Amino acid sequence: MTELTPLQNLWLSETIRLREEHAGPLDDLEANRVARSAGGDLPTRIQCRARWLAERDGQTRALKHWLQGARLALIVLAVLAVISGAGLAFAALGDGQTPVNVFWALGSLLGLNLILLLSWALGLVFAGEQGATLGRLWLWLSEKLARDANAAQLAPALLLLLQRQKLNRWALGVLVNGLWLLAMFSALVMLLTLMATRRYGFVWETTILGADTFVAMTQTLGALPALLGFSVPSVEMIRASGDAALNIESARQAWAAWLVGVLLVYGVLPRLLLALFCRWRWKTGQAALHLDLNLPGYAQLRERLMPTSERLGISDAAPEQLHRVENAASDLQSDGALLVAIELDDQRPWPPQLPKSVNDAGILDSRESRHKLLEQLSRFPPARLAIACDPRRSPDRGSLALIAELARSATATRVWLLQAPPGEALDAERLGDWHVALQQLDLPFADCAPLSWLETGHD
Amino acid sequence: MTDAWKQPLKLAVVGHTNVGKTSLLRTLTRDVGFGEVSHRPSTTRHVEGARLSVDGEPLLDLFDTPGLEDAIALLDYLERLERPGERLDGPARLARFLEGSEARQRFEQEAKVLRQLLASDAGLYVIDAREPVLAKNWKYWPVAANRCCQC
Repeated sequence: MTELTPLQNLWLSETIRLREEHAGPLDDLEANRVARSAGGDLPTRIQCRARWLAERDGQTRALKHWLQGARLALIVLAVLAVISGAGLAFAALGDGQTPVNVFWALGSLLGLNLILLLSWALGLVFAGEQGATLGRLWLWLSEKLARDANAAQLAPALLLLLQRQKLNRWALGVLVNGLWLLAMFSALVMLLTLMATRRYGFVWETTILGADTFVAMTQTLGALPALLGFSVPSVEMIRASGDAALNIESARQAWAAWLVGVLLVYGVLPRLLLALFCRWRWKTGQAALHLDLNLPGYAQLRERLMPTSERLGISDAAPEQLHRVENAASDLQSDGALLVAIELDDQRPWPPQLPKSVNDAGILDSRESRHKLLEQLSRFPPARLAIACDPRRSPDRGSLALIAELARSATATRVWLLQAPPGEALDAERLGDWHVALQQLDLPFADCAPLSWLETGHD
Repeated sequence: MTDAWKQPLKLAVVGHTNVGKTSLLRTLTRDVGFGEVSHRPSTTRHVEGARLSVDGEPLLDLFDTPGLEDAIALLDYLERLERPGERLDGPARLARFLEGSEARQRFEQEAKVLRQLLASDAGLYVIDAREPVLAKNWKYWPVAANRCCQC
């Protein structure tokens, strides 16, 4: 795939945007991935995506065909311009059998050119409506002519793209003025060739005007070419040419130089300057061309091409099974009853009123208190142990491991899931989590105080 | 993108179980399908990353980690790793823990978190402000993590 110019890139992006606007979103997963990995700012990524989609769906090929066609058409137009320019010169000078009427010659060389130049300039000034009409005509034509649905959006896309920067008038200006420049130049060359190889006599004729008018006109027209060094026929020469073509060399040469100068200054130069001006505007405008990211079609692409977040995947997989805490009742010689609480916050009054035979081991919330109690339990294992838990906390693995460890050092263990403090409610889901966890540990649990069980050993 | 300063900052999101680490990542990435969220503890059991970009430039890699559930026991275990007459600094102690078999069994989930912390530039410790401040939530994990990677 040959490298596309920036303009062609923009053109393809606009084509894809129009296509998605008309025919719905395209399957762009891979294109988006390619664009994302290519990096760059959003317009770069949009263009990369459009290039990929256009390549896949044939718009790039259609664009190249279109360009080929345009180039061919340009060549045909250029050849036509050269031929008609030469024809103009032929028509103006004739075959040399009869003297050349200078003002008729001038009229046929410059007349059409000047009229069309004027109409083009007026069109440029009052362009708004005309451009739109021309654009609509082009849209309509391209819809009628496009056989291939893939290429249907190419012409409208170019038109829209250029219209946004008002560039189409300058592109058209380059074309029109360039072709006229070619025609005028060819006329000039043909004029010089004919004058070099044939003898022409020059006359002017009139029925109602005086000779002074022609003298003034000739001198006025010749003033600008004179600045470039083209000679102007003298007053006597002009007056003499009113009667018959002068058969002297200096008069022929003066008239010929005058004619060439006028054609150069009023025919070739304006078109040259206008073509250069249009080309300059076209080039600068082209550099300023960009995608209009506010268009909904492009705005939607932002999140897909430039995601603010993306998943990186799992870097450390979950184990097949979490470590399970095992519970086994102690078969040690044990005696007494003990109540212990795990991680209670200070909103709760603790401990509750206890029977005399039941000892209180306080609240376990730190490493030190855990160590102390576990040491004590291993030396004096209790017969009955009640563990109070606040089911508003998560039944995490640490708490469950502690409960299991405590239970292993007592002959019988029960878990007391405390009620919510006044004014609060327990989360049913979390309470369910506690039930499941304690069932897995095979520990009996209840939501009321097991004080009579602690005291007597039975309910 | 090979320059070190252009690499996105790696941030491990850590905290007690059920504090909403995965929910936080879902919010930050605006990706409602990220990870799994439920009321159960230990819902996230793996380490999963997400990248945040601004104008196409990756700025932050966030890593969702399992909950830190057994902090007190782990700290006990880490302290027991020192052989008699030996003094280990934090990283060495952690390296020994991660090589050991308990890092694949009882403390498998905690080892995942610590490994990710070691691989990250910083840790983001998430606390559920609705929960009371319990010793296990604020005291032991930062201490354990601090000792390990000095971050």
